[in-house]
Amino acid sequence: MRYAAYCALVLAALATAPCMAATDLGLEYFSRGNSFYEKTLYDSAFACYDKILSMGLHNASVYYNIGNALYRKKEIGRAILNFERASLLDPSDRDIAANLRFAYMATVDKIPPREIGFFAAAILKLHTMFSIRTQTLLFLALLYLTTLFFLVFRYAHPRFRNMSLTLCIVCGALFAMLSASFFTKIYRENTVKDAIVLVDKLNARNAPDGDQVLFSVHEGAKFTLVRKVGGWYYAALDNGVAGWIPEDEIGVVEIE
Amino acid sequence: MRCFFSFSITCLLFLAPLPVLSMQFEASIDKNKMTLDEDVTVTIQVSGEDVQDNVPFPAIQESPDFKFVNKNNYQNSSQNITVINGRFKKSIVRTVTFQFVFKPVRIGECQLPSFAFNYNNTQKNFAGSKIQVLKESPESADIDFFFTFSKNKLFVNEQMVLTAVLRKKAGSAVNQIKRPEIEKNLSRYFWMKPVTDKVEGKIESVNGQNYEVYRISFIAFPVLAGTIKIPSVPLEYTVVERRRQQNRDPFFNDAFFNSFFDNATTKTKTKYSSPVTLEVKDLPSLRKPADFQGAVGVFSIAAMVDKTNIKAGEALNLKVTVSGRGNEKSFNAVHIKNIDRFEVFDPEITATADVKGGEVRITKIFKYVLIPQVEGAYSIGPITLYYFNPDRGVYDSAQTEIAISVKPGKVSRTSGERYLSKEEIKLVGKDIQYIKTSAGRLTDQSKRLYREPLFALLTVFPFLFTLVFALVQRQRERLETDIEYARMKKARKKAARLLAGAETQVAHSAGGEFFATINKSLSGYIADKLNLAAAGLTNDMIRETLLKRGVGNVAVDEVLGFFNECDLYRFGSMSASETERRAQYRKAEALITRLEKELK
Repeated sequence: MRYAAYCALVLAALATAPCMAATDLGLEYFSRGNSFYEKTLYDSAFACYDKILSMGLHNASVYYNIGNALYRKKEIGRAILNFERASLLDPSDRDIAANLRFAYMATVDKIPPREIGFFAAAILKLHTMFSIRTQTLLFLALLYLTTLFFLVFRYAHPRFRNMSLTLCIVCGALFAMLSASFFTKIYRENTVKDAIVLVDKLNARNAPDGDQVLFSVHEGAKFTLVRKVGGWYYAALDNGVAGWIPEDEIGVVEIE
Repeated sequence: MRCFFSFSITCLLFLAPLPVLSMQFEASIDKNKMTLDEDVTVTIQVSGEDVQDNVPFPAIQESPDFKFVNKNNYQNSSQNITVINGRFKKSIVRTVTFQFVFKPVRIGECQLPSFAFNYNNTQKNFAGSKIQVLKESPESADIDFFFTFSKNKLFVNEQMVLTAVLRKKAGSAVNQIKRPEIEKNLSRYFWMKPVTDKVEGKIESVNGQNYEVYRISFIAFPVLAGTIKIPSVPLEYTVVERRRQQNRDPFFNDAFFNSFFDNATTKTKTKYSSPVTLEVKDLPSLRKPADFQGAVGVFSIAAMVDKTNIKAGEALNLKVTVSGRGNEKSFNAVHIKNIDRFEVFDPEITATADVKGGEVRITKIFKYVLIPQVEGAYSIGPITLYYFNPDRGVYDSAQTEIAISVKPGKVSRTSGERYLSKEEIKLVGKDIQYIKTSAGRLTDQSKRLYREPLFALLTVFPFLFTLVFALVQRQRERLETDIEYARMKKARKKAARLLAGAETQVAHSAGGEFFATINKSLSGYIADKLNLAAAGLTNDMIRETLLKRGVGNVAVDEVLGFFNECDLYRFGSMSASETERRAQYRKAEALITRLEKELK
């Protein structure tokens, strides 16, 4: 029995060892990147952070620091792209949100966002408060709590019923709200993609490789991608204006 | 020319320098020829941003040729101010000067001790140089060279007049005197400005002897604090030496020929100035303003802008002029309050210094380019220069400010050090947030838990669990409340329990007890299944009820036959062998199983 326990421990250690080594190496690159950044060697800092991503460690802090390095290099489009990716992984981080706002203010185009009401804004705020990872864990936690309080209410001693009913209703309501946001997020993540303009000026056309330029936007502008035909995306700006844009002039906000 | 620096560089070698931080080293000696009565000063200077207050003395290696007399150290610091993104960044360069005084113990070519410096993991070795120690001074007694100061006790960076006095005995053999390189030799102790470029000699009588006296005056600002020993400064001159020819030929041994063949040669010699000691006080720390930059003297400040009405985002030129008497090198910036309302560029600094009336008058101009970021009517400043007034011995300040009116406009901003047009980057009021210095455990956050099979399992589990729990609970409740149902459900289990008891009696029981048990198990089973009282069961009742519940005639007959057989064995004279008992036991089992299937 004891032998079996040892074997299990060793196997667990061996299984987690490569992961641990990658994390340690990643931290080493992270720290090295930071020291390059402090010395204003932004290219070297970028190379170190990029190395972490190539190791498969997609972390909000890494994307955030890449965004900062690129901003210092005055590559606004790529900086915004990386801040957006960082925000995708951790939408609750204030620094990421601040730098994203800041970087958007540095873009040339002023694209007024669609106006939404107070309640919609409040729901949107709640919607972006947690990362999808946190929401997954909260979803499970609330599901189990609601079930537990329901079972207590239904089958436990009558003196627990009032309390368990209240808790069951509260948890159930939270669970319902969170689930709505959670599944919306999953749906969006799997169906809707945003993209950032990476070139100085991008012409949106009437068709894939079309002759007519519908409108022009500049580096850092954000599109929502609707569909893809060949190397072209049909994409819409926040104000609803849409057109066909070339794939190689934008960066898609997704974790590769 | 064997000047101070040339020989200091050639004589002192830096041996085996190990990895050096951002520190600079300089070493020198004040003479390379001396007599036994004189002493030699070795100066080692360490400077840099990494230099702190606690720099230890370099270790002296023993030398048989010199004995150590004393040592001293001084330090000073200078500030560099840069403006980055509207913020003043200050860096401090500290300089520590070590002086060691040695006396020779023998005549001849002597080796000075070497030094080893070890600080902050930085090691540096200074090899000792060679010095000629002579029996008598090689210098002529006809010339004298020394320094005088207008003040012997003063503050760091306070003005004083330093005069180099050069006396040559009238009619002496000293022929040509080279101008001593005083500024070069004393630059590490003073910031100097000559009072005049012309040097004129005067005849003066000293102790009844006429001398040609030359005075070279400087306005000097001491840059080191402490008891400073100003080392010797070399002065080169030539002496004409006449030697009479020694001829054995009596023909030439004549006054005429003697004077005609007198041979005159010139010889270059070096005279070292006598070392002088100066008391330099550091600036008091009491009531030192926080924004004091190091300016010492008496100053006034004035400022002007090229336009007072401006739109936010447009550039504005601010010219700040500091004038007064003092050392212009002692400060590099003025303090501007509320500077965060502007985008600021590094100032362009120019300075002029003139000697008037025996003191240095300076004018230092700071030209700033400012871009107002905030609209409204407000002032630039107060613009302040904090300085130490050595006359009063207190800190003082000169202040000015300029009112401007900023109208709304397209505000632009710089990014980094480049000024960018509005088209490239639009205004934002602040810089981006700093990078994350820690990434925690640096986990891969892109993994989606909701895509894992475990997530689906964990999501479904509570629903399944609730369903099963509810069913179990319902069953339990029915068993507790519905007796008929409970008897029916438990009948088989109860019968099986009784049969299990009977099985143990097969081999050991005399017979009556065994048959009573198996009879009870089957009759109890039927009574439970049919919800009847086991005690009142009759054959007719059993037949009627079983037939009603869909049990076949054959099975009913078998059941009733079984009861009869049991009664015969129990109450009649028949005795049963073990084999017969076992067969009867199996029959009871088979009948219960058959009834379980046929009962509806």
